[in-house]
Amino acid sequence: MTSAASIRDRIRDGSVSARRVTERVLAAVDRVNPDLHAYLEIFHDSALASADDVDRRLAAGDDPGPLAGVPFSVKANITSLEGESTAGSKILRGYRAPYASTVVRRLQEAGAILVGKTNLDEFGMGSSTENSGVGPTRNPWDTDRVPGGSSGGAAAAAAAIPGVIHLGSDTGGSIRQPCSYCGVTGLKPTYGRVSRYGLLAFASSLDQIGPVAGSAEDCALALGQIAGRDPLDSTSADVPVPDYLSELGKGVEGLRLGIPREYFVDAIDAEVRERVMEAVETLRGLGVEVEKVSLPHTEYANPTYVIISAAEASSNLARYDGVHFGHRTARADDLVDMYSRSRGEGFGAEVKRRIMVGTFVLSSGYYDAFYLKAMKVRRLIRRDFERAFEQVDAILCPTSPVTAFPLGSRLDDPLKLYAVDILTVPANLAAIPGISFPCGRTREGLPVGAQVLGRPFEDSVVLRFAHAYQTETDHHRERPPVSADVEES
Amino acid sequence: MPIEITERLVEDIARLSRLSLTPDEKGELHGHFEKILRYVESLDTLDTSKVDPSIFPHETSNVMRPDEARESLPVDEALRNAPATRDGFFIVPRIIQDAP
Repeated sequence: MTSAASIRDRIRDGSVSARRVTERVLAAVDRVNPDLHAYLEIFHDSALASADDVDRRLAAGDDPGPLAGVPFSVKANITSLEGESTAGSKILRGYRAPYASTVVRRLQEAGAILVGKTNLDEFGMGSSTENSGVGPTRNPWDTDRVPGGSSGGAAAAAAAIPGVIHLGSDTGGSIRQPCSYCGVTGLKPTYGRVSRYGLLAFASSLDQIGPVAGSAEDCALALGQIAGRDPLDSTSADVPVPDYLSELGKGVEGLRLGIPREYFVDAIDAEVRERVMEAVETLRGLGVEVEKVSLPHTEYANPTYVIISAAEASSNLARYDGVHFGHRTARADDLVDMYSRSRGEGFGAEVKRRIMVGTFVLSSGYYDAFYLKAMKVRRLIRRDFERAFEQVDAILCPTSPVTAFPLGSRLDDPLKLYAVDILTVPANLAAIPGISFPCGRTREGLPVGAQVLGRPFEDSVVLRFAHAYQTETDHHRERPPVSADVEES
Repeated sequence: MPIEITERLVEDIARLSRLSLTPDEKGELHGHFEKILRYVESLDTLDTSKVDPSIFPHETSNVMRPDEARESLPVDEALRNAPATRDGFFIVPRIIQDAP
């Protein structure tokens, strides 16, 4: 099957041109996108021009970079010089970023080819991609269901067309949960592992950019290029970047894997639990030692996340004021009225809710009871993980309590949508890496995702678990009804 | 002690948030806001009197860089996405009224 790694190798050894690959990818995207609405923009001309450049450099004997010719997309809340960077919000309709994000620049410098920008819940706020200001994305396994979110465009695109690397962002599960619903692999790296420069901020202490792809190997390939210290993001960590691809070869024999009792509660769908426990058995067969662990504050993680992410969002989104960029109202009595109307007209319902909640928990009289309290509970959640990681090398649990749900089925009550995040938000609060990979399907045919969490900056360990599983099983090779091949010839 | 969510509180928060809301939005937000606050109030059951808040994702020291002049975005590029500009400035509604 096509992978980004195989595309890279075949371009490098001359068995296919970058132009040919790019043409096939663009044709495949054009074929599936009307059904899925995964891509908001497709860059036919600039992608082909970049591909020709790669081919010219290869012909001249130059090194066009470690990812030469590999197709990639970015979520529309990550800036690129190509196209618009709207974060899926009406307030940024038509916004063309004057600078490229560090991740896009690094992939392009490595020779990778940007083919388009993917859909998301507005500013990354949502778990279904239904909160997109430009219409929902559909799940390629069942187009009446959501792809998850907020990186739903990336996950749906990855499921439909293998061989492309997608960059998403994850604040409370926005990479992992859609990967679970679409049957693909996605990594939320350790906080600080990847520069956030050029990521339109949602919650700065939780946000992290990471790869979505067809396999752990392709995620490792991408992470190797985007990870590392960036002077333009002072929270990016000055920690050496290992060769993630060669790390994969180390396998998992003798590693200790913890199964947290608190993550297998009644809210978990029975079939999800079965598939995930089968994955545990597969890993046990590879020499992994499985142990029970406890993360006692798990039930408090989601309320803590709701408070902290909303607080940070209310502050970050203050910049959308109708002055510097984005939508400005047509009529306003004075400056404050201009701000309020521009924001009222430009933001969607969920974004308004979170700004309101965030403003409230930060306001005088409520700060201690909500925001300060949540920061203290965040410490307790981190300690849970620190203790568990004294006992085990990684933790395995479901990515989401449920599988892809029907479009519209959870929109009437925000808490119904927040409930699907309960197993992913702890990793963001604890700033640790987490990967989701497909571990089979339900009787209805919907993908189930397993999640492996690791110690800070041990992104390679969670990648190794997913890769070891994928060398032993074929779930990551299963293809949805809506799909198109970048066929090899 | 649960906080009572009144229409007045919702309006105050909307004003602080610089969000103009339609009457329909106000009604819907009121209900959702109340649900979300009841949900997060569940943290009250936890004793955190002896816990330090976790303010930074990783506890690192301050990050410094040399104080050197560098190229920055040209003014016309920086203003390119602004809704209204003139002579290199952002235009905003008048904020000082004429004297009566």
